[in-house]
Amino acid sequence: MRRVAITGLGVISAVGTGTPAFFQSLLSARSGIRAIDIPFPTGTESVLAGSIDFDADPHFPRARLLTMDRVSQFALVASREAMAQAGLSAEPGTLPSGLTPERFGVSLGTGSGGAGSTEAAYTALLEQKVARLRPMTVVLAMNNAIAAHVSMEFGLKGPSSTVSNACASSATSIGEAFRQIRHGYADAMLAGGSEALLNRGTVKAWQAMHTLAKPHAGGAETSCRPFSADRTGLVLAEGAAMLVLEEWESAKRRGANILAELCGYASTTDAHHLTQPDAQGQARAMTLALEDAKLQASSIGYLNAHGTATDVGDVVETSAIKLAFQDLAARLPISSSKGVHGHAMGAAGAMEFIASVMTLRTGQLPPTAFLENPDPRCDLDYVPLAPRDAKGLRAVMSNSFAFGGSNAVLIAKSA
Amino acid sequence: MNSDLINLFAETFGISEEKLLPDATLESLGLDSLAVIEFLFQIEDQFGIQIPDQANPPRTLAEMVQLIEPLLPAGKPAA
Repeated sequence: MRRVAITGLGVISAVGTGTPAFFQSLLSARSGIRAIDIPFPTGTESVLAGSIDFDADPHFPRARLLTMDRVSQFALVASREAMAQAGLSAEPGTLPSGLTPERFGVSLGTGSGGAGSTEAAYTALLEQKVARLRPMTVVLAMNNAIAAHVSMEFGLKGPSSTVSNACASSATSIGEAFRQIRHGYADAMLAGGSEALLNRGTVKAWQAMHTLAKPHAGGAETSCRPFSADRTGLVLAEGAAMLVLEEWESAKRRGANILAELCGYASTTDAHHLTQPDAQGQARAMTLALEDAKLQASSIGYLNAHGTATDVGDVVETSAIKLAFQDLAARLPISSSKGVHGHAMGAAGAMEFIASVMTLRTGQLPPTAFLENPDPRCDLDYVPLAPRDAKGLRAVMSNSFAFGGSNAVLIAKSA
Repeated sequence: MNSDLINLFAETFGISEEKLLPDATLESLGLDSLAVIEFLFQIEDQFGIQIPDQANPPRTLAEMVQLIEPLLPAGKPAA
């Protein structure tokens, strides 16, 4: 079976644009969460969010922005960084020998797609009572527009698909891209996820789920507190994260700098409840990913947890990790980075897999922020507050679990 | 060319007016066919006019102005 190399990483997030800035924020537990004002029809409300101060003008000509939702803009910013790191260019006809556009694909995860454009259309129609909508409404809002923009930017003509598995979208999209290469349908894939959901309708819908964090007395930025006894829920965030994946031998032949090997992936479904997670389904995903990677559980030196900071989610994930890792669970360093970058939904899995790859490469474990007072039911080593050195890391795992019962687990090992 | 239209074009696409020569193709200015459609829609909204569907959409700036200018109400200021 063909092996898969990771040769490029790109991130835009509430804690920084660019992988180095993003990972440094994670290591220093510097949160990008803040309270933003959202003008609802019933009045302006302060909402906790991992929002990005993003000016699109330096990145794109205005003519292009007429056809591009914020969610696609984020994906392109992250993709450009990942492709540049891989030494690949957006200029047509410049792929190095061994890579052809027809065998280079795109695999994209998103929960809400162009939700901002959808809301703008409904606002125009129902609030402003316009008789007609912008001609680009459909192409701005459609979920696969993101992958389309990425493919057009780099001229990638291989397989493309868009996964919408809620919070597991981009872990699944990366895993499916891995399989495209492993099984010979593509030689390279640009894979990851993007999310831009901080609009009025989406925020109100999430408020109604009663899963959002309340402002913490220590400041808005400390409000997402995974595994903490005083956690109150998740914080919605936006951003994108993209990786360049290449067939191992092809990457070596062209002299690419291989950052790590993507060696294991599994996806399971709970078939149990729309919102209640299931430890058995999650554990099965971790176990199957280990089998897929042909690794023992003892090989995993760090686990980036899904860790959303909801009451039930963190407890069930703790149980699932114990089921999958048995006696080894107590000694496994685990952290959730969502306290810092928030929950970027369809982009979360890709962001956290990049955090995991950076952990593998640097030997620096990012901590779980604000974990001063752990929930006794979350009794594993959640690397509280401060980063930790981990010498000789060989493999890392990243968990992503979603509403709807979708579970996706990725494993990377040292190149 | 109609200065109101040129101003609006320059503003919408962030292109300096000196680059907006009559013979400049819309493609060379970075507009694909969808961006042209979106711009014509904005013109219709802004000036309250109806631009008929085109069998051959405008290719240059001059052709676009020729399409729109006769439809503008006399003396209508640009927004």
